Amino acid sequence: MSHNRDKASDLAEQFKREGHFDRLKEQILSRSLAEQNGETVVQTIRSEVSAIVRNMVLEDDNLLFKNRGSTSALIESQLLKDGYQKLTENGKGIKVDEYVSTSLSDPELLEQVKGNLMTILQSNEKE
Amino acid sequence: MSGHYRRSVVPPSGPQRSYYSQYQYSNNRKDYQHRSRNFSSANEYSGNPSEAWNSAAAYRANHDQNAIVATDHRFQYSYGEDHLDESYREIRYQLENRDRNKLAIRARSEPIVQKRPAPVIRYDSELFKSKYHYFDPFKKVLIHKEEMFSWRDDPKIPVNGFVLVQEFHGGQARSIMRERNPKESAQDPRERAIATKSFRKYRDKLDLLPFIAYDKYSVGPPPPNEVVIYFASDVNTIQDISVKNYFKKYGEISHFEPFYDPNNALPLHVYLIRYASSHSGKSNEFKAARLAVKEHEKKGCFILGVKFNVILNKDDSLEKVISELVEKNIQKANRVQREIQRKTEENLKLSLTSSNLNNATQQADDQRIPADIEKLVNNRPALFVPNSFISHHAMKVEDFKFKLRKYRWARMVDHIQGIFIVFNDLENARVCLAAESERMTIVSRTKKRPVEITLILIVPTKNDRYNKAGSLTDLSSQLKEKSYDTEADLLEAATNFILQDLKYALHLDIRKRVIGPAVFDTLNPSSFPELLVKKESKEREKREAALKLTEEAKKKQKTVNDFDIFNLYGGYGSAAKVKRGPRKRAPVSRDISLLGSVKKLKVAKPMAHMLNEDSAPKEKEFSDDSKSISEHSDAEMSSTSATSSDNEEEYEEISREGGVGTKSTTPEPILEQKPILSDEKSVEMMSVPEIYRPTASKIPEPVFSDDTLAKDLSLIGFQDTIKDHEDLKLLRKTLGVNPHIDNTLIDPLLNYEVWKLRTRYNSKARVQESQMRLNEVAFDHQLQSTHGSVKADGFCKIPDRLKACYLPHRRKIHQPLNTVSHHIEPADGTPDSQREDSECLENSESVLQEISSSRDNRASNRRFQQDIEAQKAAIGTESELLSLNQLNKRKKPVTFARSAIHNWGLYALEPINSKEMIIEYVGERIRQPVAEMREERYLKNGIGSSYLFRVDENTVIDATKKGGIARFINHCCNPNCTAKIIKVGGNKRIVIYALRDIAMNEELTYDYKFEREEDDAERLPCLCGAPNCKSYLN
Repeated sequence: MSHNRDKASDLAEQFKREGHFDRLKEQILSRSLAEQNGETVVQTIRSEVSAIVRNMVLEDDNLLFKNRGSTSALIESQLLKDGYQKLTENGKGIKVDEYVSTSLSDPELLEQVKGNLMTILQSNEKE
Repeated sequence: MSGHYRRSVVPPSGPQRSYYSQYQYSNNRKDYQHRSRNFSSANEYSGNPSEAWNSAAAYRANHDQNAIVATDHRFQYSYGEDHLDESYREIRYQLENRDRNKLAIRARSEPIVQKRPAPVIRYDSELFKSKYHYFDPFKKVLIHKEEMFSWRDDPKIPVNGFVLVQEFHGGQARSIMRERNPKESAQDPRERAIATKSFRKYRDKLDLLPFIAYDKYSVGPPPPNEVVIYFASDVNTIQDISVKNYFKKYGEISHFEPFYDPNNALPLHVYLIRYASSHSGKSNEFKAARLAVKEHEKKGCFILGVKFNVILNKDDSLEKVISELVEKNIQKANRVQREIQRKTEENLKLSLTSSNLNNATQQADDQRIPADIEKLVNNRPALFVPNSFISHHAMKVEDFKFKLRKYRWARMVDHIQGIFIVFNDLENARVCLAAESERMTIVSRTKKRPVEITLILIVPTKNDRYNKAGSLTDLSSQLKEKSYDTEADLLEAATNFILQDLKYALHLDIRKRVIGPAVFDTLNPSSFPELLVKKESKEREKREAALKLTEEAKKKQKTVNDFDIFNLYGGYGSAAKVKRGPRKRAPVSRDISLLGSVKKLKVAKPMAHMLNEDSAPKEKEFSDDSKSISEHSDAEMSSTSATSSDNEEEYEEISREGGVGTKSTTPEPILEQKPILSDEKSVEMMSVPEIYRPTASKIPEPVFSDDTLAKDLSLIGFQDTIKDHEDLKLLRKTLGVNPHIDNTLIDPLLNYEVWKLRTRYNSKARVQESQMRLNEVAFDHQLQSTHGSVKADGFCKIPDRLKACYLPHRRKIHQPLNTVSHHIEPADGTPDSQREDSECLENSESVLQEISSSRDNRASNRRFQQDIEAQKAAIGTESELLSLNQLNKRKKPVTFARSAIHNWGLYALEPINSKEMIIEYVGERIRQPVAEMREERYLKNGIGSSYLFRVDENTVIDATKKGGIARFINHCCNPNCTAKIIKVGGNKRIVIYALRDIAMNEELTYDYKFEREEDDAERLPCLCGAPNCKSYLN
C-alpha cells in the first residue's frame, strides 16, 4: 500500500533504504568534539556514563553485587531522566539534547540531505 | 351321612362365557354377587325341596337372561324337612323385584342378549335318572328321603337354625351362637365388603377390556414390534447411533435401520427400530414398541434437540413415510435446481451489464455511515448488511468475520443499523463486494438453512474526512496522493521527514547503544578491584563469624548431649560419645577448606542443611551403637547385619569374655581342700571314702541330710533314706530284726509287691516329670477326675489358675513367651526355655529375614515419605489424604498372639530398648457420651473385652471395631511398657513406650490404671501373675 502514501514520505523511505540515513547518523555520533579534546560524541558519553556509574557504585557498593541486568537498567533510566540531566550535572559533560538539535539544524547537513534526495528523485524520474 | 346337601348350579356353556370374559356386560355384577353370597351364607334355609329347586331354577333362568354367571357355583343351600319358610319367599320376592328393576333398565337401553325360554327338563328317560342325585324332578320327591335325618340332633340348637355372631366382651371378640330370626333380613358378615358401594358405572355400550398381551395362544396377526422414527423438522444432522441409543431404553433392539434417499443417497433420517423380547421374558417386544410410541405421542420425541416423530410400523407406515420424504426431497431438489438456474442466468446478465457495481453504489447512496461510528469508520469504505436482514436470520458478526476472513477488511462494526465491514482500501472493498455479494451464504439460525447475503458498499465522501491528529502514518494520504507544487516543496517535506526520524534514531542510539552498554560494562565487579577486595574480606569475616557461631552451637549441643534423653535413660553406651567426637570435627575442617576456594559458597547455610549435615552421621552412629548394644544385652540375638564380619567377631569376643567371667566367679576349691596334715594320718584318711572324711567344724555334721522328715514316707522313700550299712544297722537295731532270718519265711509275694510299688512309683514320677517339663507347673489334683473318667464328670468351670497346668500359653507368665510362631520354626514339642537358646542362635538369621526390623521400617518409611512429599508437590495442594502418620515411622515390629494373661497379647518381634516408642494405640476418636453408649452396646452384644482408651475427659479412643493391634496389649501390674498421651499436629494420640528393655517375643504390657471400683462384685480380677500383682484391675 506504500504506493498510495505521501510522495515525500516515500522519498524519505527511499533515502533510508539507500543507506544515507544511517550514514548521517553515524556521522553525527562519531563527530569529534573540540571541547572534549577531540573525543567523539559516543566516547564522551561513554566516559561520562562510566564516571557517573563509578560514583554511584562507590556511594553504594551493593549495586555491584546485585543483579547486574536489573541494576544497569535502573541506572540507565536514571541517566535518561529529564533529557540526560545526569550527564551534565558535573558541568563537563555534553548536553546530548542540545547537541542533537544543533547537529540536526546544521545547514551543511541539510544541504547534504537535500542533495541526496535530489539524486534519488532524478534517478526515479529516469526510471 | 350328613343331612346337608349341596348343589351347584352348572354355569352356562363355553362360547358365551368367553364372550363375557372378553366384554363386560353392563350390569352391576358386583352388587349381584353380594346378594347371592348373602343368600348362600346367611340364609341356610330348610324348606320344600321342590320349591327350592324351582326357585333355584327360576333364579338361574332370570340370571341367565342377564348373563350373570360368575357366582352361580357359589349358590348353595341345604334342604331340611321343613317347608320353605317365609324368609325364602321374601328373598325370592326381592330377587324378582330386582330383576324387574333390571328389565326396566334394559327397556331403556337396547336389549343385548335375547331372552331365554324358561328351562324345560328334556331328558325324561331312565338313562338320565342316574343324574338325579337326590331329587326327582318328575316325581318331585327327594330320592333319599328315608336316609335323611334332621340336621338338628342337639336340642340346644335352635329350630330355626343359628348364626354365629361376634360379640365383644371386655375388648375380646367371642363367637356366640344366636338363634336365627327368619324375619330378620340377612347381612353380609364381612364388615367392609358390604359397606362399600360399587362405584362402577352402568355401561350402555361395550367397553374394551384391559390389554391382553400377545402370546403364542393369540390368534391373528401379531401387534407391531417396530417403530418408525422420522424427522419432524428439517435440516440439522443427527448421528444414527444417538437415535438408537435413545430408543434402547424401551427394550432390547433387535434391528436398527437408517434409511437413505434412493436418488442421492443422503440420509432421510428415517429409522426403523425392531424390538426383541428378551430371553428372560422381562421385556416384551410389542410392549416396548407400544411404550416407545406412547411416550412420544403427545410431546414428540426430542433427541439432542432435534424433534422426531415416532409411530408404530403398521399398515406400511414405514413405506409411506419414506416415499413422502423422497417425494419431498425430489421437489426440493427441483426447486434448488431452478434456483441455481435462475441465479446463473442472473449472473450472466450481471456480468454482461457492467453497471453491477454502480448499481450497488447507487443502492448505497441512501445508506450512510451513522454519526456515532463515523470516527470508527473514519471515512473508510465499508460494506454494509442491514440489521433487518441480520436480526431476521439471527446472524452474528462472527459469521461474517469467518466468511470474509480472506479479505483485507480493517474492522467490523456491529451497529444498530447493521454490520459495517470497514476496509482500509476502497479497492479491497470493491473486490470483496464483487466476489461475495449475493454469492456468499451464511446459515440462518432461524431458517436453519443457508441464505445469501447482499452487501451494500458505502463509499466515503470526500468532504467529510476525519484526520487523526499526530499520527506518524498519515491516513489521510491513503486515498489521494499528496501533491506538491514544486520539487523544492517535495524535497523540503522529505527532509523534514528524514530529520524527524533522524532525531528519533539518534536518541534511540544514544540510549541503547551508548549509555546502556556503558552502564552495564562499568557495573562489572572486576572493574572495581578495591571494592571486591573489601567485600571479600568482609565476607570472610562474616563467614568466620558464622563458623564460630556454628561451632559454639555444636559445643552447646555436645554439652546438651550429656544430658540428653538417650543418655539419661542409659539407652546408649558412653562409647558412642567417644566415637562421636572426632567425626564431628571432621566436616567442619572440610568446610573451611572449601570456603577458601569457592567464591560464592554460602557459609551460613540454611538451618535445614546444617541440621542435615550434623544429624545424618550422628544418626548413623546411634544406630551402630544401638546395634552393638543390642548384641551386648541380648547375646543370643544377632543383629540384622549379622553378615558383617566385625559384628561376628565382636560377638565371639563377648562370649569368650562371658566364659572367663563365670570361671572367675566360682570359688576355687583346690586351695581350701589342701590338707595340712601329717603323712600317716593322710594315708589313713585317704583310705576312707571321700564323703566320710572328717570336716573341719566344731560340731560333727551328718554326712547325709535328714530326709526322714517327710510326712508320708513311701516305701521307696523309706528305702532311699537308708544310704549305707550304718543306716541299715541302726534300722535293724531299732526294729529288732535279726539279720539272719531265713528268706523262705518271708511272704513270697512281698518281693513282687515291692517291685510293683516301685514301678508304679517310677511311672508316676515320670509322668510328673514330663508334666513339669511341659508346663513347668505340677499337675493339679483338682483337675483329676473323681470317677476315673473326665468325660463322665460333665461340664464344670475350671478356674483360671488351674488352666496354667495344661494350657501352654498360660505358662511362664513372666518369662518371654514364644507363642509367636514363624514358619521357619521347628514344630517340635520342646519347651521354650530349652529351645530358645538353640533356636535363636540357629534360626535368628532366617527369622529376621522375614520380620523387618524397626530400622528397616524407619528407612522404608523415610523413603515412602519422600515419595509422598514429591507427590504432594506435584499435586500442589495440601491434601488430607497424603498426610502421613508420623507415629508409624518409629513403630516397632510387633505381633499379636495368644497370651498367658488374657486372650490375646501383643509381642515384640525384636528386642526393644527402654524408652523407645513401640506402637500407637489407634482407634476411632469418639466423645465421652458416645463412648458410654458404645460401652453399653458392646456389653449387650457380648463383647466382653474393653478396647476403649480414654485420652482426656472428653475424648476416648475406641479400638473395638476399628483400631490397630495395640489394643491387644494386656494389663500387667508389673508392666514393661507405658502408655503416654502425646500431641501430634494438635491431636492427642496414645503412644506406647517401653519402660525397660524388652526381649524378643516378650509380651508387651502396660498398667491400665483403671479407677478403683468400690463394689467388689464389679471388680475385675487381674491375671497378670506378677509378684506385685494387685489381683484386681480396678
